[in-house]
Amino acid sequence: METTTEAKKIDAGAAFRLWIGILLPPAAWLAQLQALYLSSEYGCTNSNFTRNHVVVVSALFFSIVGLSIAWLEWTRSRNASAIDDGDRHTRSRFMALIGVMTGFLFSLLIVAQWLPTLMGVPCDK
Amino acid sequence: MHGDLDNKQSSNLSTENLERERVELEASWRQPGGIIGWLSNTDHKTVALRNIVSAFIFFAFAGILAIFMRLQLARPDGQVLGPDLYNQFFTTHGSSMMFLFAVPVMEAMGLYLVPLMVGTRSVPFPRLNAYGYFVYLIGGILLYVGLILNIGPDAGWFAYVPLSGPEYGTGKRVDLWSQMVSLTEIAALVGAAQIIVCVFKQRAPGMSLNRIPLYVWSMLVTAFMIVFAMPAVMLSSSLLSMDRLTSVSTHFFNAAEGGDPILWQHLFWFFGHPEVYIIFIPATGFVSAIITTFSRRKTFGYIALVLTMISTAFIGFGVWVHHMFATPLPQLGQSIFTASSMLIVIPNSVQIFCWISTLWLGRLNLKTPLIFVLGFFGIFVLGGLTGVMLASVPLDLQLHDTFFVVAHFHYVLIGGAVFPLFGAIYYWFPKFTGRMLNEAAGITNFVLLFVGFNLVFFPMHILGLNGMPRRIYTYVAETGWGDLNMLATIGAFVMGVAVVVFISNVIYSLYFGPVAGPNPWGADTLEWSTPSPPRPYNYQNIPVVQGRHALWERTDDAPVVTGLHTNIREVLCTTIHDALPEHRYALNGPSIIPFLLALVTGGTFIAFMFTPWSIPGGMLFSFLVLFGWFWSNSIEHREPYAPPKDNPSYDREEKAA
Repeated sequence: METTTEAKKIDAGAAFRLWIGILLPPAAWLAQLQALYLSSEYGCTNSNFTRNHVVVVSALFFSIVGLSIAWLEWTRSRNASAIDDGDRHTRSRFMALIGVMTGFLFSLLIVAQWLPTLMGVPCDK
Repeated sequence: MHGDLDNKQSSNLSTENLERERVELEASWRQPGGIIGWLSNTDHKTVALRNIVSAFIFFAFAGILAIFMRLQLARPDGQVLGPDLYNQFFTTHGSSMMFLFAVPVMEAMGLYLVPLMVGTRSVPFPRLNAYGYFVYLIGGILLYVGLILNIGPDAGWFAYVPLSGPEYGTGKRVDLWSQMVSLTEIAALVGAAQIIVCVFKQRAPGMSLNRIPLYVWSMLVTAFMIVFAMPAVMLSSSLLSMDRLTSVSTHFFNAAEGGDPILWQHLFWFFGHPEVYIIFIPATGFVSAIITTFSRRKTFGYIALVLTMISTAFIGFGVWVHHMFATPLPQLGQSIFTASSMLIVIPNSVQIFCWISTLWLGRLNLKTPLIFVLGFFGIFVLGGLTGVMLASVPLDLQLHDTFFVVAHFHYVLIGGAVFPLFGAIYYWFPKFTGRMLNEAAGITNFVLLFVGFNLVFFPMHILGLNGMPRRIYTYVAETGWGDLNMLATIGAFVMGVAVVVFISNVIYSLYFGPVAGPNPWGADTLEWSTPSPPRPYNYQNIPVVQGRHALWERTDDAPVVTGLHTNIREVLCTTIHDALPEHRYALNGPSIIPFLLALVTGGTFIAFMFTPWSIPGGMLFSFLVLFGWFWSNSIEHREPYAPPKDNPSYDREEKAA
């Protein structure tokens, strides 16, 4: 087990990147959901859905950035010994893997929510 | 202190020292007796058990109301309840189940179990914890006092405007509901804060993020959901109160004055749908814990299960509009929410797959907790399938506000949460009380509940498809709904008998059940290393965790943490990621002040039904009580803070610091 002195040496940047990897894709999706819902109202009023596409592409970009960061951290931690060891490397690999999986899932979700706009779902109330 | 972590079984752990420590811990963690002592108790286990018992009492009351509703609907032109009383009954039933039973009982289970599972001595803010319970209790009593006085809320558990607004919701009925909501959500937020801090800062050394038990993960995720979801309903119910209060008379939801009734639905369901997952995710924690123990193997897909909980929590905040498909929103906007409502099936399916795999690969020990979990599978999957159906806009428009929806959410909430909860009670009852529940009565309980539940709610699918609207107090014989309604009523009585069997089993076993050892099931998580029931300080020496399944992977010479004070209430704080020891933290002792502050809070909210001046008045009284709260803290901190003299490594660290 690492001591506190060793713990202080932990790269704070790595921890930050790991959390970004986990939280950026869902945060991008949530922001997209809110923005897309609002821009749909605008699009329906003006018959112009460009904003919808911009919102989705932007969210997808950020989600993929999160996924990529998590992927890089995952490849960096490949030397971790076993999946449930209590050391920093194994824990980092665990967090990175969670980040990779959330990245895939929420990117898929963003694309799924793009489909109604792409398929031209009507604006009737 | 940290040096001690590496000294397995240090000299401090001699029998003599251990006994001295134990005596000191007993003294410093003792709770006072008598009525004042009862009201001052801050032991997280005692507070949680009170919360669990209170929640089950509200569950029983709400169940009795449901039986009356079923009696009324058993035959066409029923005469058991009039329309007004029927409205009050279904509103109080729904509000009780959601605000007074489901969320509080799940949180209370967490407040009992999480500190034990992460290997700490207490929740981080024990007085705040006690305050949360009293506020919740006041909210619950308020709702039922209203019903007894025939001023029970009557606008449904989601109190749509304008029905609940000043124009149609006359009297104080909706105000009472609104204040009950605010009070219970304060309690929920208090509990969530405890759980988040406890999990992030009080885990035993060695319990890095990748070793946290799945149940603890479920409560952590739930606590975050509470923090983000509950403010929405507190805000909306406060706005509604202000709309309704004559001397304030705002128009947030009054379309005639520029307000927006749809705003209510957005705010309510932004809370309301995550609430379903706030109830369901802890239940998934129960399922994971029970399946692991009774399959006698490590959990299959630990990482996937953690992922599913996190992703379900996020997606749960992005589906609320599927409750509003019948409102005039653009179809395009609705379809966006259809997509997320359908994709939430992915994490839930992965969960089911992981659990089935664990069961498949394990050696099953078929006891009552596992039987309840197996019942959960069937019912919850059925509820999930009808959920996918309701996520489709055209189908939802046909089925909206029919009994099909009633059937769907009971399959999800009773199947998804109450069955695992019963399993959890059977599982952890030995830890709570030191005695085992009766196994035969447990299986009888399960069979009656499973049969009764399906008798009540399966016919409701057909009734809904046949067009029977929810919340009607009667119907005519020509509709042809009578037979299925009679079947549902018979099922309600069978469920009632199941609950009576459960309560009888609990009361009997409390006094006559076989005595349980520390770990009667051979389980893997840390709480099972403590005596049953645990001592007030949980652990004499904080354990050091050696694996994801802490007890299964513990070696004979497992290290423990020494160096914490025994003459004051002290806990170990560790780092967020790797649970490395960081510092010690002294906790407050028992106090009557949380109870007094809860009275002030309750009084403030109740008075707000009549006058807005209750807010400044309440603030003044709260300030006075909080002054006492913090002043008493400073008195306690004047206690001697000297480290034990027989712990040289501890002394060295102090000097070095």
